[in-house]
Amino acid sequence: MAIILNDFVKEVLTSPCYGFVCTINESNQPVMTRFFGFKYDDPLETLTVYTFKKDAQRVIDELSDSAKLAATVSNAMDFKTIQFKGTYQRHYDVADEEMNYARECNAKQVEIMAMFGISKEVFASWHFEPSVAISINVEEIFDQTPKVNAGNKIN
Amino acid sequence: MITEEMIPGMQGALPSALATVDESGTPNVSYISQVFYVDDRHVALSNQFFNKSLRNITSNGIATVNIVRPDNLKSWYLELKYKESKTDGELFENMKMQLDAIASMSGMEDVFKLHASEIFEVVKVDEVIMS
Repeated sequence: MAIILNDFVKEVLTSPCYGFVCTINESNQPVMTRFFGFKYDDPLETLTVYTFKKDAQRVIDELSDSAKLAATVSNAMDFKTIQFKGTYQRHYDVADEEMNYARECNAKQVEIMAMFGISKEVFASWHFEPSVAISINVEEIFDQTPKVNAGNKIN
Repeated sequence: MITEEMIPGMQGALPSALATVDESGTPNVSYISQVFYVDDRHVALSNQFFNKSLRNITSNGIATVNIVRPDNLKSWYLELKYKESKTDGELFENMKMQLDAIASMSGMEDVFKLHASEIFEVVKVDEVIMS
């Protein structure tokens, strides 16, 4: 069922964000990879994150039809953070128009890294192409902003 | 296991991602301020308010953390096994001092308070491939 996004979630998702997506392997060990961009629908059913293909293979290797995933998105400026939890939907190589959108997402990452004092030249050492997209059927959203009650469910 | 090259990734310049798993197999990933170098086989994580993560860790002892060097963005995944929690002593005080500095730099003095140092054995290290 689609989730109506509240103002807080929309605010975080439209701010300068970075994130990780995570599943577990057969030993129950969490396996994660960084993503540099994402897209979502509103009301929310699917969150798609754009990952660095080589590193993302560690997560993709563990994905099956019933795989559970968590993806956390954090605002680099004010630490407002939300976590999505759900199940694996699909993954695919990012191409064409969607790759253009992913490039825009990566350009925002350059700005985020600059906030941490990291130059564009150093950030260029992270090659975001080729990229693989991982789509999640989102079932739950949590407020992970650093504070006493961090982790409260939003939806 | 932990090399000198990795230590700059444990100084709090960039937030680290902490991944855990609950009893139903659902992963949880959050950001933490500190992955603190203890020795070449152990790290300590700052327990500020990672409620769900801490429940998972104390339940099954398993975690994975990502660290990044701010100067060249070299990055590693550390697979961790939980050992113990400390709320006083030299390690706790050193972490508290570093966390206070991180909080000051990020304007989070009222939020970042160290409740405990959670100590882990590092069981595996993988370098992140970003190129």
